[in-house]
Amino acid sequence: MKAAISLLAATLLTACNTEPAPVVTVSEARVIALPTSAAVYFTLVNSGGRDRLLSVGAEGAGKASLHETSMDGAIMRMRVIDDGIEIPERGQVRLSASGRHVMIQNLVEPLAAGSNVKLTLRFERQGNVEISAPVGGPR
Amino acid sequence: MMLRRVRIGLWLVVGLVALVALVMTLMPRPAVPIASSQSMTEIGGPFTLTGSDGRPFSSSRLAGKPYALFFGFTHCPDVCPTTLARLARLRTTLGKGDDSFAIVLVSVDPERDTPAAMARYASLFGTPVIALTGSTAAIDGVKKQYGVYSAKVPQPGADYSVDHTATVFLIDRKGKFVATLAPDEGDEAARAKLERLDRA
Repeated sequence: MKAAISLLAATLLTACNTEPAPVVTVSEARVIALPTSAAVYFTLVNSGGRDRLLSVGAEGAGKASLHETSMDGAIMRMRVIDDGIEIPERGQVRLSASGRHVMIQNLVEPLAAGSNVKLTLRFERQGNVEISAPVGGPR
Repeated sequence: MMLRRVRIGLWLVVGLVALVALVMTLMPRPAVPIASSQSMTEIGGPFTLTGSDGRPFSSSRLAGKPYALFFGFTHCPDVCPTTLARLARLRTTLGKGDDSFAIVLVSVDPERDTPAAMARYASLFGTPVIALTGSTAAIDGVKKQYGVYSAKVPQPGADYSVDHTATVFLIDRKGKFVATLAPDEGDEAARAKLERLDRA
């Protein structure tokens, strides 16, 4: 009897620990092209359980990494985000100018306005999501 | 006897407090860092940098028209283009083409920002941007004139970024510094300042 109760408790605990699967969609993606680098912005909307954006790849375009710009008084500081970006359960995360963004460096060739860049977003739980983002100039 | 001792003790305490107060008043105040003590009249001044054509560019060429001065670098994909694009947009709303004020970008990364790199960067904004670079010594001189901070920050690989003051300095047509624009200042407030700059 005791063993059966422990088994039931363990099963229930496991069930409770199983988080709902994340359902993250990417929208409003855009690339701001500069001569030697580019910034990518997008919005992540999650209608499921929590997830984490680990990294972004821009194969064929250049080296992409997650960056964060922050203001320290009047000083602009930019840092690499090492631990990814958390997307809460049923939450939304917006990457936008002067905040978090994807930076593409070492461009193979300058990105032409009007073209599209293929990006692979790697999520901790949802896996890879591929998107195509339109390229424009600074605005 | 006991009472007398207490009285003497108290007087000693009073004397000590008075002495400490006197020393504190007479001691020179600690120096305030330059950036925050720099008063309006001390900010700015003439400079000579290198234009995007590779030739010397004297600030005297800017006289007669107000200008908005911003420090940045061409490997900056986020705040720098956002700030310059905003200035370009605000200038358009003033409705006088590029007559109302000039947009001047000074590099804080002279190592990578050649005149040609500055020219390519400046050409992206669809409106004239005066992009200046120069020797490290020349750039340091202008940074000092404006109390601007910048520092190289290593990034993974051999790359680096440059942390820097993101304030826009507004200079009137006589070459006098009059106001600043902060990145988090709304477009309405910024537009009002630029209108005043144009009218001054």
